Amino acid sequence: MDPVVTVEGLRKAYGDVTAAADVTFEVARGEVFGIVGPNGAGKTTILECVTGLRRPDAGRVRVLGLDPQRDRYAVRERIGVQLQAAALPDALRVGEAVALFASFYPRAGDPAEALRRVGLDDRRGARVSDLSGGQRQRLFIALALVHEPEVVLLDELTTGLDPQARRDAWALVREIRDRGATVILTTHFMEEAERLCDRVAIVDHGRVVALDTVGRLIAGLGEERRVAFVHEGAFDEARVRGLLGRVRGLPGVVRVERLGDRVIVSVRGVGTAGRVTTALEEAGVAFDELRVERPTLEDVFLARTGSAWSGGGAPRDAARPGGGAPDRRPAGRPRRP
Amino acid sequence: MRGFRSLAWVLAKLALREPLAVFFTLILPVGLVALFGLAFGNVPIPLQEGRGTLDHQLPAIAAWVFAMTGLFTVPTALLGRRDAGTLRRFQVTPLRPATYLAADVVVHLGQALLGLALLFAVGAWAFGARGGGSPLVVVGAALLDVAAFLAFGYALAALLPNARAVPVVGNVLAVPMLFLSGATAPLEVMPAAVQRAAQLNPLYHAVTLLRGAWFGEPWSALVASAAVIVGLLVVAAAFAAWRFRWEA
Repeated sequence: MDPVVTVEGLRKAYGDVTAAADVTFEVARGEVFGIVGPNGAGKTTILECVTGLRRPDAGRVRVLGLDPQRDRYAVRERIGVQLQAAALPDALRVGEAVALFASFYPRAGDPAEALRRVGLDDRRGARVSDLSGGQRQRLFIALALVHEPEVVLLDELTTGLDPQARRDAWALVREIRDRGATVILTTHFMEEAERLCDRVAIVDHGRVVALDTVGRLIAGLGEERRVAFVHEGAFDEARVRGLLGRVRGLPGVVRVERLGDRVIVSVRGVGTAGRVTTALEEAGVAFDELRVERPTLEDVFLARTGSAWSGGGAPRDAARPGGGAPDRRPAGRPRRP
Repeated sequence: MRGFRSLAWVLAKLALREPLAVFFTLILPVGLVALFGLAFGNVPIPLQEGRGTLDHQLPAIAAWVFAMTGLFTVPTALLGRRDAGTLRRFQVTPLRPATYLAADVVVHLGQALLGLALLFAVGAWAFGARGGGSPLVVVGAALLDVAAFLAFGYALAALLPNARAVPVVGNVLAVPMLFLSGATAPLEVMPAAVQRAAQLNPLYHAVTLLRGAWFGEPWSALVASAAVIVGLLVVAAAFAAWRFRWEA
């Protein structure tokens, strides 16, 4: 591996809050590397230490072999950054913004080309305040690309974007990678990480809890799938028990869990999910909302941290003394054994 | 200073797209001159050593514009960009902080001097205002005044938490500064206590310096006010440089 970014034992605390605790990872040239985790997990802090915006309390950060604190300007000439909380003046025009940022770099690229890449060439004369959320985010990408950086850092690129704008942003990230740059992005959207990233570091409470390719992380769960459904109508309790007993006896079924009228059957092996649904139909059970779920990065997070992803972000204040995770999984989610 | 020219150019365009700042630094002062000129004319008044109202008020209005720039325009622009994260975005580029500040200073300076030029041009051509001092000394005094109030503005920006605090603090400071400057009412008719308080007012000294230069008064009459203005410039600039932050 030819590391473009190296982070070793990074620590950063704000007062009593530890935002990064012993974070270690390497990013290889040409990779799309994801730092994923719930809001408040410490993703942005890690990224800010890589850009040199924040000075680590301890640990070692190298970007292209340089120290982002000591050699800050040398690093900044070769990286392109999109920040989460950074607005441009409303009255600034799109073309002016890109030309301005291009002028900051010794090896300035072509502002018109940067705008064309993000599909904003027809909005050159528009004020920043007149852009949609998606267009504004694409402008920020153009500003990060205008000097053809070797490393591109994107912080929560798609937060607040509608699905179409998000897909456009994903296409842009793939295009950046295809042109040879290394990409490091943070996201709290697991789907985004699964679709975009070659490797991910899953971060929780400032710690890296998992670090590998998405495929290997999910495979590490044992390739369990879940057949979930809601049974309809009034039910004779004894009959349900009998039926679920039969399902439990099917080959490949690992576990059957009930939460009110919701049933989750964990299965393993080819064809098992089909056998479960067939058995249900043969038994004459009316069921609804049938879903077969393959494990996702969310399940990896759950398995590694003992707490659910809870899209909105895990509470920061929940102290987690060794192993005894507080139960903050949302209602209706089965507990893993 | 890579990026200086393009940044100064963009900041200048942004300044001209800020309607409130343009009004207060460029339009209102000229309007005031026109108002004074039309209301009182510039007839020589024996009590004022044969000078007209406008002769007297022109340097006071100019100094007032400089104070407004320092109290409102400079901190509003800087803190607005700091609050919005624009400065943070600049911080992850190779742009040096000194380059940003130099471009910002140059643009504010240019805007203030443009206001000054408009003011004296309208006063002189439309209403025949005359001072009698050397133009070079007038420009020197004006530059000193502008520089001091710009530094004051950067110091204020370093102290205030965000842009929303600027109008509050600015107005609290602006009213006594204007009242105790000698720009509105002659201080000579005020009680002794008020006259002493005016000695603490930077705007009083800015007006005294610029007016003295405009009337061609001897150096001895200006040196005390000039010293106060230079002191303000040095202290405020040092404080602003010491406390400058890219983010809140």
